[in-house]
Amino acid sequence: MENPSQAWKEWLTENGPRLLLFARGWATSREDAEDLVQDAILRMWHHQRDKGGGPPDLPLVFSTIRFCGLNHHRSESRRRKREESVIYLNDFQDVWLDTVLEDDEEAVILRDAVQQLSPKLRDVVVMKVWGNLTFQQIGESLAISHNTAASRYRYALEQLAHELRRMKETRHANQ
Amino acid sequence: MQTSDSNPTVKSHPVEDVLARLMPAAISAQGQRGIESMLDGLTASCPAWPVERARHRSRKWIWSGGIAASIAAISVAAAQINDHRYRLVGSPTTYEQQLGSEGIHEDAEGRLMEAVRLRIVEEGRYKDILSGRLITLTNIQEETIFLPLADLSI
Repeated sequence: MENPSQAWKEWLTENGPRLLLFARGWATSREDAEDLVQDAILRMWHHQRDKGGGPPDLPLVFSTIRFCGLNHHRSESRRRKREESVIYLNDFQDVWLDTVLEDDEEAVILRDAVQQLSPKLRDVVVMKVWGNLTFQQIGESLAISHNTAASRYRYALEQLAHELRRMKETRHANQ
Repeated sequence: MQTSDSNPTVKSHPVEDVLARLMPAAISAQGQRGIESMLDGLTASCPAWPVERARHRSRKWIWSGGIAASIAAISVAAAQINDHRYRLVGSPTTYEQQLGSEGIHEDAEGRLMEAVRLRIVEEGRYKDILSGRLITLTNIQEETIFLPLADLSI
């Protein structure tokens, strides 16, 4: 009998980066995002035990990460209210996406713009572009209609296009 | 705007072409190890799957059935026994007993794990093809497995 741990590890190797990218939108740091991914995988493990034990489908995992992120956010909000004197700084060197090509100005601009999208739009973009999900699957994962998923995606692309134009004009004007 | 979902022949949006030049950053080596270690622990704790138990082990062999001293020369491995004068009768059985918690520990990544002591008992019946005598071979292993604490609340 095949060791299920090995099947899950292979699945993690293939899908880990896209899961981490999605989790980054629900965490304040890369480490917290990795914790969300691990928490979600643990929940998925138990969920899959009654279904043959193999790795889960991506839409369910994205949904679970979002659920874990919401729970984490609630506990973090309560903790921060108790620690109001502590200043939380983002790691400005930390990026969620790597550019495939060097010196790709447009990709760098969009990399930052994706991180700045609202969660509703960002989740759809991440699942569509890097999760390779259909709008039907995205809708099921986010409990919205596939038309709403498609609308959010179109709106996100227009926002990103606007930001790309604006940043390129600004950079070239400063040169 | 039509999307590739509805019509695969529709051209991609220019922004999509740029997004395709970005790829998600990989999980850190430490994060990857932590998740893989968790998966190994989960697999080890599941009785339905054969496991690679990489934890502390103690093994005892118990002989029963009035075995003569000459039997002591037989290899303790069931496969080796089967290759000599003894033949397995039926299928071996395996069952686990949870002996109790050994407390909460931190793993190398600083994650809290509960140590659980398990006893795994394997039994097989073998027939001495020379004398016709039946013997029961019992293998008892005691191991400590580590379960993530988050596991316990699900």
